[in-house]
Amino acid sequence: MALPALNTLNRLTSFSQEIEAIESLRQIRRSQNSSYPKISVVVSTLRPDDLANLLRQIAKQTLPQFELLLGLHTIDLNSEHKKLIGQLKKRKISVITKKFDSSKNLGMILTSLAQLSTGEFVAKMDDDDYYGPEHLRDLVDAAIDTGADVVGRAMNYVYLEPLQLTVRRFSASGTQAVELWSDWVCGGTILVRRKQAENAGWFGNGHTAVDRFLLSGVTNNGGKIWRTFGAGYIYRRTFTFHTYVTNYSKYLNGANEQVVGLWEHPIFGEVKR
Amino acid sequence: MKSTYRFERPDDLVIVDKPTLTVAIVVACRGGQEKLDLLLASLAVQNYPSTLTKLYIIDDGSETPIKLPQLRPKRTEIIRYRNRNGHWGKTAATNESVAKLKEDVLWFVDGDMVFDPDHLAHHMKWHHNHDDYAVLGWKRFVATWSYTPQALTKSLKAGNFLDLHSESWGKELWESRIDRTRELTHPGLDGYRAFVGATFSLRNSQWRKLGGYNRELITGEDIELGWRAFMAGLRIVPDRQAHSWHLGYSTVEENKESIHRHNDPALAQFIPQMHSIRARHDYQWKVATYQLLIDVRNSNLLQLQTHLKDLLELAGTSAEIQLLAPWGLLQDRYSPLNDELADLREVYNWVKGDSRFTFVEIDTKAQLSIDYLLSQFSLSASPYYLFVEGDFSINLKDLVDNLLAREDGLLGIANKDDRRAFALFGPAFARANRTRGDLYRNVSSQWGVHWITFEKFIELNHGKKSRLKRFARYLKREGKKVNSPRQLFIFISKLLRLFLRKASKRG
Repeated sequence: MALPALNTLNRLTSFSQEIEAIESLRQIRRSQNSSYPKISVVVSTLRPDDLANLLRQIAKQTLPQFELLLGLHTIDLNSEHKKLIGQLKKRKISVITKKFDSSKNLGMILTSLAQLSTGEFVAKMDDDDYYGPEHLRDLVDAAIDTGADVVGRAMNYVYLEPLQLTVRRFSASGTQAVELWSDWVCGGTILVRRKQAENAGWFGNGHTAVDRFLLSGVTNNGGKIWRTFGAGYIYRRTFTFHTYVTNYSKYLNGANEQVVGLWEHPIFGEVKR
Repeated sequence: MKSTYRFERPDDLVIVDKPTLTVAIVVACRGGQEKLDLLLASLAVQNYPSTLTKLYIIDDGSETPIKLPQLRPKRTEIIRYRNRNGHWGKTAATNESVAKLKEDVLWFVDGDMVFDPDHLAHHMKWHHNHDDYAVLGWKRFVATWSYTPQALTKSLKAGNFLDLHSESWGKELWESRIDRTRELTHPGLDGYRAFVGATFSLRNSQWRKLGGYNRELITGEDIELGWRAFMAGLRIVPDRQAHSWHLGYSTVEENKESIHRHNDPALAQFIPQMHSIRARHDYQWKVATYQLLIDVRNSNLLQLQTHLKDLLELAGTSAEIQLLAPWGLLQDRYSPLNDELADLREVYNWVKGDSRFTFVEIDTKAQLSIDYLLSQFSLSASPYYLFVEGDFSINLKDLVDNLLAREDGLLGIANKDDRRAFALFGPAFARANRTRGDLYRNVSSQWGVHWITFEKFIELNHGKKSRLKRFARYLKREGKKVNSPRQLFIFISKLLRLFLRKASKRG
């Protein structure tokens, strides 16, 4: 296992130090990988605009090959989606779409898509988050390197939509700690071994807490979860209705830095403003 | 050109070797030929290249028309400003005459000044560095002078400018303000007062953007221009190397009482920072202290009133208020006994006759992005732009005070209930507006954007309380260590040192 040099980083770590450490870890991991296992990506979406954004980010993934399973929750593909899917297919990425009516919930959709998939690993992506081009490949690298049953990311970057602000959070403990065994990773970044996920019952059949369902299922069966670095993924806190309070302000506490807009760096890809 | 951060500027500029910018020297006068002759003699020996310089004397209807003396800059022109009804006085004469000038830089001088030969060159080094400076020359007042233009020329050529007067005085308030604000790089909100008309320069393009002097003013026009230059986010630079002598008392000092009676209300109309003058009478003013935007969708009259009461706590401050809500819905049929929009209607019916309020239509479910909120503000000479969600109980005056203290461009607060408030500094808003690109990002890169939680905000504003608590914890912790007379002595002397340090900080 490559030395997790990153987990010694803390609140004082600058962004450029962080990137430097990530690049060296990446290099070590990739030098050990000669080929990649088959990966399936599952997505459930009910927002056409967000789906288009996500498809653009998926098209830029550097992981050479994977299959994509899209669960359309009460929506239909529009012409833009179709164009983007066409581009993915040109990249030899097979795309399977399945429509679900309103009687199905998030857990049912993800579980059903995962069962349809054929990969050795299954990755879950959320349509409202931001993924850099190395996202999938980094996860697979970490899974091979650590032998973990689940790999996911720390929450180091959060975009607060109501404030149009990205906060960078780094700490040796809490959800920001990176490169360590843990029982929690960001739900939008889960990569799980097919066998372990099957035993855990995939994402369950609930409306919420689908990530928690999978993660506790895996750990209850004795599986191990590796939390890798968060850079390359931005968790998004969207606007909510006035009656539904999420207290996104808590992400401002203990933030190392904050920048207006999405954090701009190649590790996050070309961010559309 | 490099983007400017707050009021920062280089501290190592020297006179430009090969200058390229042209400059118009502008002096508006009405009579005063004798002092003018001395001024022109000192302008004739300026070291800034005469090929790039032209002097314009605006004769604002002098009884004896101004004549060109022999000793004067090579390129000099008298503009005879024809006085007529509504077209007289310094602001009218200057604005109309200067509008035709094409030079890159405008240097405005009073007719009773004598300049060091390097004075203009020091102004111009700034304008060669960037286009957003308003440069103030350094001046000292002298009571008497006996030199003729010829003698003055001789002294200046001999390098004896500083020896012309052995007795002079500065304006104490003015000089201490420059010291206190670290040469106006941290001007707070009072920095504009340093802007005086005797010798200042700025790019012609900036003069045009500012719209020149305020035509409604007859005196004090320089102070008001300074306020707008400050609010426009220009960098006002006092240059201690640009020496000058002011011949005689200033008009204000000689006739304090009548000048104040005339200027106080005239200037306070346009300069919100003159709140202590405004506080004398309860009127509305041409320029409000605050441009306030409130989303009143989920709030009520009491919450609105509380926001205004908090914000306008300081006497002499005022606000222009935009209320965001789905006002159109108030047109639908309703019964006073069963009114779903009772809160909104109550707000509307109380304030609709008050001209400080305007109503902005938004959808019931609209999600208001920061970009949208910023786009709702129009540029003005108000120093603060504020936004708050009506049901967020935050003291807006505290927010403004924190913004000013932190010197941020924008300070935002978010609370546990996902409610937002922010304060935006006028100069930051203006500069971001005239820079290409995204407004919010411009504010961030040029001035700084900072968001904190409401809990943190409360903590910051109860500094005194928490200082006491901190001290109590300190006493408890350190007190435990006392187990001998020697330790007690150490403990007491430690406390004494602490007190002395704190006390001296305050002094």
